[in-house]
Amino acid sequence: MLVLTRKTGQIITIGDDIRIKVVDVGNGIVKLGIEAPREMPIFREELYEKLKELNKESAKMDLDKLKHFLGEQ
Amino acid sequence: MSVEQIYCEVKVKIITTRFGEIEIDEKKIITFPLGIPGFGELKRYVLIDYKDPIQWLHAVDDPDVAFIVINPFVIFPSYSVDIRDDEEMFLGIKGPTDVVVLAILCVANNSMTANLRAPLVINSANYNAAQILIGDERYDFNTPLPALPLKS
Repeated sequence: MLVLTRKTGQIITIGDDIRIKVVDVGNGIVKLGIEAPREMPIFREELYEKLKELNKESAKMDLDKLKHFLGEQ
Repeated sequence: MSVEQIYCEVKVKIITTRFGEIEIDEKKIITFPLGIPGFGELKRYVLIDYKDPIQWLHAVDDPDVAFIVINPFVIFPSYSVDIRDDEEMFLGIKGPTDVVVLAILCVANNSMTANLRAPLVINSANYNAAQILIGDERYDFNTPLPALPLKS
């Protein structure tokens, strides 16, 4: 992993299209500003992982399970 | 081009493990240019009516992958989704009438939950769609679902 040191206000560029700016630092928290193409999805990693897991679980739904659930209401 | 050609419907057959072989109107195919998180390679889906307000969002290119979806506003009247400007531009949304919002349902341990934190947003004008993550932390990935007002 490439590790870079940056100060508040400084920027990292990735390729031609992505810029990440250190907006604020303090109390163990870094605030980042990100400029990237619109088709580039940007997520907080832990939320993205959670979403992927939930989607995989949701896509396993079979008809019987749904009918069973609806029948019990 | 003749009138017949302009209005001709192109039917596409898709294979599903849950519903067998079904035929759909090609124009009704919803494109997720980025896929759905966890299923990045599957870009094309179709909505299949089930029991109102439940529908299935079925992958066109994988017979196993389907999501149960509902219009969340029917179940959660106070629900609201803030779509960011860049998301609107990405989907080509020009106004609120273009927008269809759906929530994915999950059934686990005999309880059903709705993913209100990451709704599906569909542009009904061009059938482009995306699953967006909304910033509002009041809404949960697993929101318990009350009894559904089913119409068969």
